[in-house]
Amino acid sequence: MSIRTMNLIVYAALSVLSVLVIRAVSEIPVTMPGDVGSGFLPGFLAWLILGLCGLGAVRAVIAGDVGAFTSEYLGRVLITIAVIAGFLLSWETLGYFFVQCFLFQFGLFTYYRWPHGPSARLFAVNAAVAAGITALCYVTFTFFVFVDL
Amino acid sequence: MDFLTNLDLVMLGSAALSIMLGLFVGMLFGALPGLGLIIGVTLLLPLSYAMSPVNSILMLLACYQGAEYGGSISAIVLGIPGTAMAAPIVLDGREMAKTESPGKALAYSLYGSTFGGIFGGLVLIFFAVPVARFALKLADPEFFLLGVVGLLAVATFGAKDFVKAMISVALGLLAGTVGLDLFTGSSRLTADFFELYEGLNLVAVAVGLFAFSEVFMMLSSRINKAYTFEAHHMKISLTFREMLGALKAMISGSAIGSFMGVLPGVGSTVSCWLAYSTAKATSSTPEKFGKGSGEGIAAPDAANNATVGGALLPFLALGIPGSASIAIIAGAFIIAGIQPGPQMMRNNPELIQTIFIGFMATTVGMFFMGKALTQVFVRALVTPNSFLVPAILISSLIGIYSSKGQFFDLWVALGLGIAAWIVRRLDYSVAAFVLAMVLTPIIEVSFRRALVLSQGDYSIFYTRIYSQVILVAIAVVLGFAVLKTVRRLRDARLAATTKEVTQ
Repeated sequence: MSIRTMNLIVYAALSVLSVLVIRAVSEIPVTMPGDVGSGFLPGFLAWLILGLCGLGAVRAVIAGDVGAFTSEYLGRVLITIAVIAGFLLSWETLGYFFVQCFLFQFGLFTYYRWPHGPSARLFAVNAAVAAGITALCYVTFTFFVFVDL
Repeated sequence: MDFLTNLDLVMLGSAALSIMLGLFVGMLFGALPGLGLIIGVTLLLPLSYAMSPVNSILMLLACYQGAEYGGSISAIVLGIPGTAMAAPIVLDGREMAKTESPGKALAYSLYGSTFGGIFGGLVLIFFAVPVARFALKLADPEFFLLGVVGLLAVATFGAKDFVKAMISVALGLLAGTVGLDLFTGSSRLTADFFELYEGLNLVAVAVGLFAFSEVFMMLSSRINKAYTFEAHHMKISLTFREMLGALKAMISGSAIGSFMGVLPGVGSTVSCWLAYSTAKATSSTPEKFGKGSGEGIAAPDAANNATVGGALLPFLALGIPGSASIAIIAGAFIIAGIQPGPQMMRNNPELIQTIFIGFMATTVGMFFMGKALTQVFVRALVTPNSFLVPAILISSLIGIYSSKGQFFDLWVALGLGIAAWIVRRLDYSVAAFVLAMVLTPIIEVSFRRALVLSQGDYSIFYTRIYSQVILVAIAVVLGFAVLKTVRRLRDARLAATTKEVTQ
């Protein structure tokens, strides 16, 4: 995909967001004399974003194609996002944070370091680092920050 | 004397521990290429919920100071600046590390940082109270206009593309309006999520925009790359003669850094380059610059750390943060229910005195920690990103959850992180977004209160002399933005024409 296309997609998405904001705040009444009301600033900003997106879109079209919008290792980023989402869902529904914290890190370490080649040492190092970080989190957040995870 | 009689050893001990924690995290994150100051400050912010206001503020300030020096460690040892602010230090730092010793280059950096930190702190101490006293004469229209000029300056000076930076600012302001309206109590843009009634969680927004998006950026590159270097000659010390030789550069760098720090949107990235070129222009040995000059290392480092004191000045005295890092530090004030500005200076002098003394202590602490632990941070540079990424992710997730105990915030952060990962590569400014979000209450409340007081008469924004001065500043910034945009378009067109001709 070209940078111009990506720019236009983002402008379109922001324009849709702005329209939704304008619709959401248009019904808010003004209750205080002299005041512009609760909806004024969000509404004004949404119109401003619409205008700037229009300006940006015209500029993007005039400027022409300036290169490709690519991302190296896209699969790795998407898999990581999916793993984070899975971890959040699992934490929210099952609990046992510190067990899951260890598994989350061990899984990611192993996935990222897989190109080194699977070996007993790799798994042992990954498990040791994951356990160390989990222990540090446990001590910090249980005894110093007092958060019930 | 009042302050001294109120000294409490327990308080002193906990403050010292907070400073040490902030310095350690700041130096570590500053040293590791790709992480840097904002992520360090962001990840420490959730700890503010479990700390006293003073300790959390000192911890974040120490992190800020430490990261400014930490960025130079990788610049000197690896030739890769750990932060954008450390870029000019590569020129002479790397060269000195190769030709003389890395320890000496790091020493110039540490001495410069310490000098700059103390200079910036003195600027803050001497000017904050007079500025705040003057600010008591300002009213709502001026505070509204000051907020606007700050945001415009960030969009103009601190970003590549003015239109996209303005969109980022507008989106940040919009994000700041989510939740209950302070004037009427009615809810806005909450989509019936009760978690949004108090507004978007600043910790979730900052972590999502900075930490998550940076992690995704790191994943888009080689994450198993391990840096190698030879850790010889790492003694971090200067002779008195060497220190005197760099004194002029440190003074000029500190003066530039303090001044540039006060200006919103400019920050250390600009001031360090300006300090470098000024030191070169005024040096008796300019031919040494680029070949391992101690002045070439000390000047930008002094500027970087002096910027911190300068940047705190408008924030503490006026309540207006001028950069994203200060905006996140403002989060610690918000969490503690403290509103920075002239009223805080007048009503809470003990807090201000403690911040001033603590700020100087962070600089001194940075010097000793730098001397003792720089070698540890140097060794941390070999940690590949494949280990750092999961560690940052898990500490970010716990940090967000510990701020309010809501899973909703974790999803918000993930969504914002993905969005920021995409738009950062299109030149949108996440720093401008966060700054605008933090400034929203000041801008909106001042604007609406001024209008209510004037019964809807907009002339209140331009009749007072102070407003007129700020309006002139707004016009100057806008004029600069237009010039910058026109120049950028002209350059782009020229580049396109050249490309066509060569094809």
